[in-house]
Amino acid sequence: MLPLYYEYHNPVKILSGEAALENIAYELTALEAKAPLLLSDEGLVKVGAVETLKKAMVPSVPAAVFTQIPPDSSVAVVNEIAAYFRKMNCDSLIALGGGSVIDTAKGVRMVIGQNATDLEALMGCEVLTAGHHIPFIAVPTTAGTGSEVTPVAVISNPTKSVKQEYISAHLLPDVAVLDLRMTMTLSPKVTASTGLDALCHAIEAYSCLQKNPMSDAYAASAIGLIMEHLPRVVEKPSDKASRMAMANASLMAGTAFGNSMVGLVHAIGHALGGVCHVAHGDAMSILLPHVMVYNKDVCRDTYGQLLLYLAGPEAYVACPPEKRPEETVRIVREFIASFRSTGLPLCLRDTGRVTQEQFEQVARTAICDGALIVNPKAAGIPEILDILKKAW
Amino acid sequence: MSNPRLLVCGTVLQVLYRAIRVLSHVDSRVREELQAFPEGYTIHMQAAPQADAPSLTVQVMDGTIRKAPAGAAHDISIVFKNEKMAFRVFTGRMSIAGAYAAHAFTLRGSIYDTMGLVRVVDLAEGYLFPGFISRRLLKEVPKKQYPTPLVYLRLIPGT
Repeated sequence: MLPLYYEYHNPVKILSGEAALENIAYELTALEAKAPLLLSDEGLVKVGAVETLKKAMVPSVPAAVFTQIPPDSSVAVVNEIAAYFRKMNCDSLIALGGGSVIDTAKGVRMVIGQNATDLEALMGCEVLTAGHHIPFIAVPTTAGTGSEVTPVAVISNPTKSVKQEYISAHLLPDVAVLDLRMTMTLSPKVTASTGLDALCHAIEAYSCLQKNPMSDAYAASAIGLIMEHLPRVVEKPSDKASRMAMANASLMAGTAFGNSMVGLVHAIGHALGGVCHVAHGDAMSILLPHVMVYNKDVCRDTYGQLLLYLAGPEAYVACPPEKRPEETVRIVREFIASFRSTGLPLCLRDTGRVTQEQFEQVARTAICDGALIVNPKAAGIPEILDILKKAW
Repeated sequence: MSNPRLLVCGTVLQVLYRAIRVLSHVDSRVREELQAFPEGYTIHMQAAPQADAPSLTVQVMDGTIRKAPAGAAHDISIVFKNEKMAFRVFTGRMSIAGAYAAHAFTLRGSIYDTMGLVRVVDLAEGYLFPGFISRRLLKEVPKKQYPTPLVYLRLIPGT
């Protein structure tokens, strides 16, 4: 059934496949960008990804490079980079990295484009006007966040121990570049953790209050690709076809949740990240089955439909309709557990970052996360504490 | 202003204001939510983008709300994009969550802080709307700590 009203917006140009990096120079020219600031992190400098990108984007050359972005970027880091952007007379952004780097670039673009100096002054949802257009190219190095196609930036505020969300269509990059060279070196554990983050995006996008026919289509396609290719690429990291399929699945899941938002898994996951610094993908894979059990009584239709994309048409038809929601949760739980051998934590205790004494603070933070508003079932502090205990 | 929809929205905003004030004294959950805001935190709600659209600007003080002085800077500002969606929300045909999902309003300010306001409005709606509406409207109908007729009685100025 169609929602009373929905919006769908994704103007991001997608470059996917062989020699995609080499087309960055063309895209910069098309965007009239002459002095890009290249953002990345030290880990990607060490593995040579930054150098690979710089060589591939010739004859374009970054006007400046900033690689000090931490795994949980913050408002202070964004403000610092925005000042650096101005100091170096840059006119555009290239973000090479995972969710933290790309979200940081979104924050920098907001500050520069709105002629501001402090990201915190721009907090809100759908309130920004176009401002000054800063050409922005995102090159993801993980297959999970989908940040290259979402209008959302999640940026930490360490003083409040929260991850704050910024939502605006003006955060969407102009171009997303999916190139095998950027994800081929991911370890099986990171591949599994980030791939399950993408699965979580797709499942929450398909079952939350803001779902719509367009987000459903992308979510369903993403789930099919993840179920087929994530086990393959974890088993055989050099499988190029599956690597590329996962990069596309992540992008599709990002397109889905960028237009439907997420839900309770992300609300608690952001809180675990802000309070306890649990890696986002790990939090998603630990919480997803528990939250699905919690939501199941109000999501019976959507969870029943998801079985088709998770298990295929034969398994869907073979399962009686009234048992499909339970079967969906069972398959998700087993699928996640199948990656245990990579070192993926399957419970909060195994992350080594959380104590049960922190649960109260996590729950109090989670109920203030924007993702909670579109979760199909209400959840307060007692319900979230119960989920955390079950995930312990 | 002669627009009937906006007239209704303006009336409901005033009812909502008085209801939250009453509930801050009789419902511990509303009081706790309001106490979590910094003193003087200013919240603005407006039924449509035009400058003369009905609006409500309140400050959180001592665990309740009061009308904000003219010109007070808004910590969070919620402005509906059009009056039709605002009318649906203010007449109990669309929840705050539903309005968010329908991109019905813009928010300037902290999403984190706004979630507390959403919970307060949900609690108020649980009191103000009859059961058959609140069961359809809200994800979960809150248990009442005070009888709805008495809440309505206390909405009348001077009571």
